[in-house]
Amino acid sequence: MAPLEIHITTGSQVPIYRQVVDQIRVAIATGELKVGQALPSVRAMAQTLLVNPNTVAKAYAELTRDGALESQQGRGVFVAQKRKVLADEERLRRLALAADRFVQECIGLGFSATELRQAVAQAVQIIRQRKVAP
Amino acid sequence: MRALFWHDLRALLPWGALCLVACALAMGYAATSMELFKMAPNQAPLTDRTMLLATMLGGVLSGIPLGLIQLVPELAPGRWALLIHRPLSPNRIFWSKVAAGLLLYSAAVGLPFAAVVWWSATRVPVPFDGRLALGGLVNLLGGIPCYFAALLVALRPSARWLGSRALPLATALLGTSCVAGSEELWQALVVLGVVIVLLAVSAWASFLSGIRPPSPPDFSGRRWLLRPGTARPALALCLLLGLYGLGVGLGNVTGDTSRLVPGRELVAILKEAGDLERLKEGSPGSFWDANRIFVPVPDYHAATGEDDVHWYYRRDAGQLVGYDRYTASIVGRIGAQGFRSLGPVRPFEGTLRYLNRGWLVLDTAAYRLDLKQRTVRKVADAKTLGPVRMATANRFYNVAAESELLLATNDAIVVVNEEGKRRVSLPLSLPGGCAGVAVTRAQNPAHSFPSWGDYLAVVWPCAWQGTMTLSRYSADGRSIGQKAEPFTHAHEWGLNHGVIAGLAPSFVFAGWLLTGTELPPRDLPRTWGSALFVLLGLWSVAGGAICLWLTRRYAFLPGPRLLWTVLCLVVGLPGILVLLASHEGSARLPCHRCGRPWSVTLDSCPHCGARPQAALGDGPKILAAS
Amino acid sequence: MRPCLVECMEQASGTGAEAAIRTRGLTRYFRTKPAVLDMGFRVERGTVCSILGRNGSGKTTTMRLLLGLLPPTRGRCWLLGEESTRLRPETRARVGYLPEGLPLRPGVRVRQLQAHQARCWKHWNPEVYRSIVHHFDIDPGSKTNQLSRGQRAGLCLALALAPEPELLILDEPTLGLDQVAHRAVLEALVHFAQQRGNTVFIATHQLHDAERISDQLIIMDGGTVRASCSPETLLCRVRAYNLIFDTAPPPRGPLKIRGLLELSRSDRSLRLVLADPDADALTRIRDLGASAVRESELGLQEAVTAFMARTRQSEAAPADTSAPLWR
Repeated sequence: MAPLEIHITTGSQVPIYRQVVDQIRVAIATGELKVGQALPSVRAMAQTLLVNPNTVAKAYAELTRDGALESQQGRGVFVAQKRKVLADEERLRRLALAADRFVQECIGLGFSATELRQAVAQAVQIIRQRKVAP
Repeated sequence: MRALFWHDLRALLPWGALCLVACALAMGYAATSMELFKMAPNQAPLTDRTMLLATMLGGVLSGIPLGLIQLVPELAPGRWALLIHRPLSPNRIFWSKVAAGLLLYSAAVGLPFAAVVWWSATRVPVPFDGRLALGGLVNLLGGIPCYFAALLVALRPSARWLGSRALPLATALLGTSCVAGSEELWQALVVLGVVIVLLAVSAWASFLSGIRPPSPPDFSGRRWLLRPGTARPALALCLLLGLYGLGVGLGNVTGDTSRLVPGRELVAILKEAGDLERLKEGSPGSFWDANRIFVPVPDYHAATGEDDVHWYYRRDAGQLVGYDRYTASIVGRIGAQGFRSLGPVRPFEGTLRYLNRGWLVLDTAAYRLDLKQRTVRKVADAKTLGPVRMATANRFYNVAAESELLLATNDAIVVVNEEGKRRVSLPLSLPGGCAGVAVTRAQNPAHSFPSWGDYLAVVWPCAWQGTMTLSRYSADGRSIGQKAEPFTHAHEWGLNHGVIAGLAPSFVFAGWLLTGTELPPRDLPRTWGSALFVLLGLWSVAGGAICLWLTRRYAFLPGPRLLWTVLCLVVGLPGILVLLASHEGSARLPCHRCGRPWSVTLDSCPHCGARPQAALGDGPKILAAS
Repeated sequence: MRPCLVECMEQASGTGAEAAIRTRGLTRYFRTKPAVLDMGFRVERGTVCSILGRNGSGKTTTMRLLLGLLPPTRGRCWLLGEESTRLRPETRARVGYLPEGLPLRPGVRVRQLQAHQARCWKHWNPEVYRSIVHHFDIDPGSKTNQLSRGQRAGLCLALALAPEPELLILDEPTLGLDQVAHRAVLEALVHFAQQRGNTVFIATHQLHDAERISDQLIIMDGGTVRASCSPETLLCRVRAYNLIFDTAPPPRGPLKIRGLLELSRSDRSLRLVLADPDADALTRIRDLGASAVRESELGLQEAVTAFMARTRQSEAAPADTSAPLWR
């Protein structure tokens, strides 16, 4: 079981807690974090990442609220069973937001719509490969 | 608190040792040089001018560096935080520092002084009286205001101008010069008490309020002077006056130096003539040695009109040497057996007690001199009279001028005429260590003498503290009566007294209240005297008024304002100096509504009530609960 | 321009636990120049707060005012509920301070310094001291002037943390440190902040550190508080608008738009940075007559710089960053 690797980038437009949330989500999605696996405690995570413990707590809280993680009293935070918590509209809204962000970033580079679609497909492929590999 | 005390003590120790060495050198030099120089052994070295000067300078020059070194390194940015941010109240921090500083100061000046006192008690052949040491001790205490002033100088807030930064030192030096110039002990103690309390409390208050300069002082050329165009020129003037007062005091202490130059020439001539063996101390021809070894004959030129030959008594050789100034050659020597123009003479035996143009008195014998004829004749011998303790033929006290010599032995005062005949012998036992004796003869019964020709002997007390003895004798030497009176100085006013009074009226008032003596000089007409008194009063009031204006201008709270005003009324100008030195004048900016300036410490304009303008225009702000 | 306020800190009525640091109208003049002018902010217990500002914006003066090392000209400030000018020794024992420049007594051995400090503080945890000193590889026998800069920082930190304070105030602790020491300092700070009730107040201009470890950012410029909020709040409430002008050149002269922090012009475009843009501001933007308007988010660095850029211009106009500093 490889240790969880999260990289924080400072100075970006994405707040730190959001980066943590996103990366944990990706890790769950790719299978890096198995269901029922324990995450490092808030203190340990804060110490490793060198971020404010409240930030980590906030990230864990959001993930718990979304249902990606579940916290067990006195034992820590674990990866939860996959269940659909968010409403469809919410999911679609988030997809639209992510797509908008992606397109805005790339539109200035002068790529065509076809090239963008190819890039997306490639990225999904990579993630699928990561998921498969142990 | 103890940790800080020991830490400071250890940090200051090398500097304290340096001051100790300097004081030891100065006092040791003063003590040893006095043994040879002074004619009258009843004046022990401790009360001599050079020793008093050494103690005064030793105190001032030890107090100032110790005070500065204790605080200046702590004022570097960050070090102040290290000092103040500790779980100790700032009072304790300050007083533990002061305790360490004062302890080292006491050791640095006290140990050499104690050594000198012990040495003079054992070496000088008069019974030792502790009061002899009081003058030097008080001068040493005069260094303590300088210590506190140095602390205040270090704490002086953001003063760009080095002159204005040094304002507290002006107060301390004023106090020290007053102390050195005081004639009586209680005067010195009053001055000392006032100045120490003033400066110590100001330093304490400055320390507590955390005022410290935001940057180290600038030593660039222009900033040495005081800032022009404000009240500072007046203060600069006062500083100069204070320094003048100090200089006058120093001048009094060091004495007349005009006679030393011919002595140096004499040394050079003697050296060339091969006549000069090793002098006892120092190198030949130096400034101080000539004065110690060669005692000039006073008043010779003024009285006889003979200006070409200078006569000196050489202590090391026991002979009188005359030398011709114009040809710069030695005329001859006078010894116990007379004058000889060339070759050695038999020396006079004994320690010199008195010398003038008509008399040479040693403790073994007294001789009548005629320097014009170059003869010497013995008129009295210690074998019959007893050892001579002091002698005088001073015209002021002696009606018949130089034809009479007064010799004081242990149990009598003998009046001898120039033939050697004993005129009269006044039985008077001189106490050990008395400061001086004078004898005068009655001329006029109106001066409270019972009859013509009576003698009055006055014995001054040791170190001029205590009682003086007045003894009356009839013309044939019988004792009529004896009276003891407390010794008081004639309060003669000189220029330095005027300077001191002008700068510190309260000291003068205190003296007037406590002693009841007249303030104005006796010589001046009465109207002038009263006018001077009124002037001093006005000056004191002016000090209070200036203080009131200053405190209002800088928006002091009512309590401190009253306190400072009372203080400046009492103390006068030193109080204003300390006020300006210890309080940073807050800035006064023009009001944006009415245009008149007001102090930034206030919450609203006292003229129009407008609140201060907000910072740099209002811009967008994001203030949110996190 | 009237300030844009969403919730004023000072009007917040919830008192609850006493704030670790609180100021009201804090002002300090050095002669006629105000270093700090009408500062009002609040740091709650158990949080990490960074105060950001340019060099000379008054951060160090604020620190000194808070610790009672300097008296304020006007206004008041409180540390752990007590007024700063009247801090009791017991309260001072609960506050650790790391001054700017990492001052240490020169020429003293480290163990002597430690012994002296241990004697001055009643409560001293030698384990904490030893662990930090060990972490920074400091030899107790060496003299203070022989230490490297990183080791000086470690020693100062150890001396400040050994009495186990509740509030730690640091003034530019990571200035000039190498990567390893920098990380070590941050680790120590995070560890300290994790203990319940511990507050950290750090003045820095290292934005990366501030973003990582802070719950609250205070942006200070011109001696006063420009923003006081969490990093996320700042990011979401500061927006950039890029306006493209095809037909006419962009308008000259200052623009009166509420919340405008920074504007930069070029031949064909205009970039506006706004704080809390409201409908009125957006209308005015549209009225400028641009052919295209695009809103974007900013990184934390740009957002903070935009706040501090205000003082480069006069009070009336926002900063015009069209002309670069060098050509």
